[in-house]
Amino acid sequence: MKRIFAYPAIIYLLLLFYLPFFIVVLYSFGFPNFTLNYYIEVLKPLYFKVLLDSIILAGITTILCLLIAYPVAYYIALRAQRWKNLLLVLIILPFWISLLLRTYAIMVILSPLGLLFTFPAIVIGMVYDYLPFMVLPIYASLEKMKRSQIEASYVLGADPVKTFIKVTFPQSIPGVVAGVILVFIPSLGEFIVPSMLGGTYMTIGTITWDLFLRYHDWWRGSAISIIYMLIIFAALTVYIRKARGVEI
Amino acid sequence: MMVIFILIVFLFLYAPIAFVIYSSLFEGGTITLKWFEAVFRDDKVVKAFYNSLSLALLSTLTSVILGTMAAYAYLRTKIRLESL
Repeated sequence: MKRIFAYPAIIYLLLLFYLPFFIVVLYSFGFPNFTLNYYIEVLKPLYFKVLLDSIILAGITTILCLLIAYPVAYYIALRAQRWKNLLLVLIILPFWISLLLRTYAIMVILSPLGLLFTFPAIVIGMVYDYLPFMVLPIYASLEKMKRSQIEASYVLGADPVKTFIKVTFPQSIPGVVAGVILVFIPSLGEFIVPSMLGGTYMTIGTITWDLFLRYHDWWRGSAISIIYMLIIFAALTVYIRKARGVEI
Repeated sequence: MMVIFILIVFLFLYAPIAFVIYSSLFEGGTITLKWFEAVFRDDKVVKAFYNSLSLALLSTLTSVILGTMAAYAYLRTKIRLESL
């Protein structure tokens, strides 16, 4: 009867997560009536462009994070030696500061550069906020690697490039996979950064916020939320299939 | 080469934070704690700090209690869950 201990958490989740989620699904189908109009409307160009823009933004953020984070993770894991712990702390430290404050700080920096309320501003803000999510998993998988393998590769006559492609990179793939998931999903739904740095640039996050809280349009808001979840679900399914065999 | 890249990345990570610290301490080129004093004198800010702290404590307490109980239950029924 130890199971009884799980009930408070289950009831809490049922009441405060699954029930609201169910209500969102109901509203997306036009509660109290039943209609598919909201889904059809949300997939028309007006909203579809926003979906597309969000995917592009999340994609660019993920790729930039990967390109910047990989060398950093590589350096910390394999080159930093006695600076390793310090550098790791420095990567994690910005987490302790509220996302809101960090984004305000970026605003203050970008404003004199004339970049505020542009697309690059959002990308800079997003990369800034999500970089640690990419560095840490890549670091973790590179850290596990045996350094003697690199030496062995050199001894056996491979140059640094070949060693990286054949020895180091394959072992960091689990970290890359985890990092891409950790960055792509939240950045697709991100609304704080685009709304603070992006001016009128709409993403799934900002449009959901507007529909729910500004226009009190529960129906379109619900439909777009459900579509957002379906996109995440589809992307993850495809991605994990592709990365099958990789242990995260 | 790589070291320079790493330095730039860390500069990118810390420039905004450094700027916030700078603006909290300096006014017109002179160092001052005046703005920190102002924050603690402002009843609204103090109240907001109090509210945030109580919220954080309460939510931590709730999730620790619910989470521990659920984890305990999960541990005991693990075999059945895993076979699903």
